[in-house]
Amino acid sequence: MKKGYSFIAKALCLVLLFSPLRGRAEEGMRQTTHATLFGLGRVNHLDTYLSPLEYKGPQATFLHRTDRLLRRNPNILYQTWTQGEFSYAHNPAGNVHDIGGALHYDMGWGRIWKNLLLPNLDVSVSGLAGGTFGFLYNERNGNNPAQARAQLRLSAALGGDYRFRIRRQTLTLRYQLHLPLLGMAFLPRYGQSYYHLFVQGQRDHNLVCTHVADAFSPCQLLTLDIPVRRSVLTVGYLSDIRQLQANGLKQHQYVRSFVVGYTRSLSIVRRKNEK
Amino acid sequence: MRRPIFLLPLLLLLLLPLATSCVREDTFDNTPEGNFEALWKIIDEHYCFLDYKAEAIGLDWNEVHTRYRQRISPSMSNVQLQEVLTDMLSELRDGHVNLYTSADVSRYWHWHEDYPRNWTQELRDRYLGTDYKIAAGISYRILEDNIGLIVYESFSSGVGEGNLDDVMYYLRSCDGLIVDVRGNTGGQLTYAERLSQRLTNDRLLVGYSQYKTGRGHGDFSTPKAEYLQPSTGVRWQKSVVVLQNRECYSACNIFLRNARVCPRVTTLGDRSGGGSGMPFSSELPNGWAVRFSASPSFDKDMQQIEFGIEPDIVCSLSASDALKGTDTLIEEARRLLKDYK
Repeated sequence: MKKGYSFIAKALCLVLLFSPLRGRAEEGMRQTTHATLFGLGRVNHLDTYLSPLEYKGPQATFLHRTDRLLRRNPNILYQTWTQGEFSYAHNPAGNVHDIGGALHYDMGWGRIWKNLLLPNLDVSVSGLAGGTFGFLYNERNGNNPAQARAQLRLSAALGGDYRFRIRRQTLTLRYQLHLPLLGMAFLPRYGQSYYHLFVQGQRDHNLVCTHVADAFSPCQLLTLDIPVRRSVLTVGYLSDIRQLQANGLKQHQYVRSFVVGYTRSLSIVRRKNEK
Repeated sequence: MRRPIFLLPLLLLLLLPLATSCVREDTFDNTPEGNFEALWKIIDEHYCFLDYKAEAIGLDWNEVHTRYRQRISPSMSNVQLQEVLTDMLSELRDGHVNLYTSADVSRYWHWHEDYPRNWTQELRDRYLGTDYKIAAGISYRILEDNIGLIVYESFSSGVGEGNLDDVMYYLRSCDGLIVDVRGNTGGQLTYAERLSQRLTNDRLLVGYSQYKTGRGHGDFSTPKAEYLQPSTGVRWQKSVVVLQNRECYSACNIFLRNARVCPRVTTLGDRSGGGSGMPFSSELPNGWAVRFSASPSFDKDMQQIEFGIEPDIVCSLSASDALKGTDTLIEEARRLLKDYK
């Protein structure tokens, strides 16, 4: 029992090596990078179930990304991507607003190639599974006041980390692209009300299969990690495009947002005789 | 160094969808022409009665476009534009179609304005008296000849199952029941169904509904049968006369559709106003809102009820009765209920 406590205490002491560099994983070392970002930007969204017009306005975004290299094979990457958003947009005339919110979560595994093509360039390719739950509410509509968002998806992700030095500081430029390839989404029919759907129980092709052509939704994040004392400041740009075309309805959400936050790299080292 | 050669085709695969187009909708300029075209297109693609009204009243929506487009000019004012658009929408003869601007609400109300009301508030007040009871949206009392009277002025005013239990229980000893929905222009379907569920002991087929599945005038879902489930609360077991008039519209029209299927129910009065399309909302580039019928309901024989439902017994308020302070329809209903007894 004492041995167990001792291990935990030693492990805690060895954890939290604040570093912007992912570095080369040592045998028996598990490296995890957490990036927590807050964004403010503009959204342009369209949902023809609610209106044929595009609404524009501010959007706040929260994003948490975790990259973890597996202990037994540091070339294998485990990723999670959690994104929350809230928007308040208006129609072109500016006399009606809508309120939107969504939570996106993706997780998956990938392969990372270190120093690929260029020194200090790490490239990763991942497969992700995830989902979205959200809503869009139009303050003026009567029997079609809101649209629910619910999706499940399988995505491909491409990532790149490039480390370079400026004035003895090592900075990291990170890029990540998510592209849903296949999925399933909830959507009412063209003129189907939620009264038909939920009160009368008229289910009618309300779960639609989506693919990259009818739901082309690339999400791109470009960030720069800047060491500030013992922490790492992260600034960047998020381009999040989500689109869907099914059941005669069209949806899009174009988000362009500046993000700022922090990145932590944690390394957990096991003793050699630990398994 | 060994390069992962599959990265290049993978990159190309990821970039391939860039060739696909963005998901966008046709846009119109915020000009009189643009707003006219936007409105015409909204109705053309979403309105649910274009085919039916082509048959019933000879509506040709393309011809409407040609005719009204000539009245649009780039220099016209908002007031003039609204006038033309209102005239165009009036071709649909639909009380569920409105154009909302900051200055006015365009409407088509001929479905009741061109006909006698067949009730007055003064006469109704005389029958209700001053000691009537109020349960949420329902006013009710027992008349001198032991006939129960329920007045439901608007289905926008809610009524709960507990309210209806109390109303039915209070009126339980009456020889018959009059449900007066004259002047009820609709509201929530839930309340209309809730009241009609008190009038049957059996599950009844009352009608069908469908909705649009695409932009074509005839793109509709398979009609879905609608059944009236008997309430699990206190249900009315004696004869009922429902009073209707031309102002009975929308959710009230659905109430009449349901009620007339129930046994022991007789409808009395004038044809209802109709309004069987559940309205959806949309908007124009200039921010004006438009409301239109989006999904139709039918009666149990799959017949349209957009232009109203005939009563079982046609009856009108006579001027001489009104002068005497007597409501012809209520008196006729009382006589019928005494006969049924």
